[in-house]
Amino acid sequence: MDAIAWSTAGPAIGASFVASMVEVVEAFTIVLAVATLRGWRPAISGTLAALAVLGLLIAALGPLIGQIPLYILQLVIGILLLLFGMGWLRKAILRAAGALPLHDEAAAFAAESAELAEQARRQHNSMNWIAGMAAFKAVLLEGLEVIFIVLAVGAGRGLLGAATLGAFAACVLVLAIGAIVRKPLSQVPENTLKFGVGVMLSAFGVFWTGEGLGIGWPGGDLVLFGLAGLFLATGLVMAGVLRRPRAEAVS
Amino acid sequence: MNIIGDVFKELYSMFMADAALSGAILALVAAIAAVDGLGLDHRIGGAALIAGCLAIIVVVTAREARRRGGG
Repeated sequence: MDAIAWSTAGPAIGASFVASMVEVVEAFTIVLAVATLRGWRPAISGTLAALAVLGLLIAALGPLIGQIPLYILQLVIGILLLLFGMGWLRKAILRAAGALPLHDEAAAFAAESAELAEQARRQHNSMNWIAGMAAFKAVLLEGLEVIFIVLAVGAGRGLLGAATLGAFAACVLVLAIGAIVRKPLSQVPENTLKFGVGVMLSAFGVFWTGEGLGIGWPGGDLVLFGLAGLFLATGLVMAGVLRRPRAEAVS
Repeated sequence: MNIIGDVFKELYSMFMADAALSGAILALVAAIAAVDGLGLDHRIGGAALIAGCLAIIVVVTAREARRRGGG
């Protein structure tokens, strides 16, 4: 891969890796809650069933993407990335400024455990079935986001392999750490990761939307780094500005 | 558990979590596409897209922080 190819592949792998890590950590918390309550059998069954559905989805979507004209694909993916990435960036800025509470994996684990117990009591169904379905739903919903991220950062310029590599590495890393610690990964700096992902996906969104509209970016792929820098600087300034009135109000 | 309903809810929240943010992004892209159709220099469209996105993130976060009683 030459220097220019790496300038696009690098951000694609990085964005896919970090974004997937956030999603896999969230799915892992729920799968772990299921395993803790009912053992690994329903947790693994639900996870494998969801991965099978996600695999079918990829198999169905993959050939379709090849049929879409490139500029339309870039425009649609660019707009979806702007909606998704700027949404993440907005939330991360608000969390960094203290306007929104931080996501807490330990609290999510406790809430999921309580919800599972309550559902079993209310519905009088087999607890293993409910637990398996909870794991299935968590992996399916978080996996959908991972698939979107991989398609979004990879499909616009034939980088699906690179983006998939990033997502796969994130899954392996989270599962490896999870297998060792066997508790919710609450030490993961989730908002910092989401801030970074929001910045990268927003930069990709502007880049692909522009390409789809026929805008020739000066510097080609390298403009991605400049776009990411602009979003990062704006996000950090906003977090600082919005945090100040809160700090002054407290003092 | 309504899995299909949850899937659609998840997809909706992925892209339309904040109606003001989503509406502003779609309006910006539509405006740039319309102006681009007039045959102006593409660099103007690129600069407007970048400036517009940065302005949107500033306005929506400031508005949300104010709504939550912060700013």
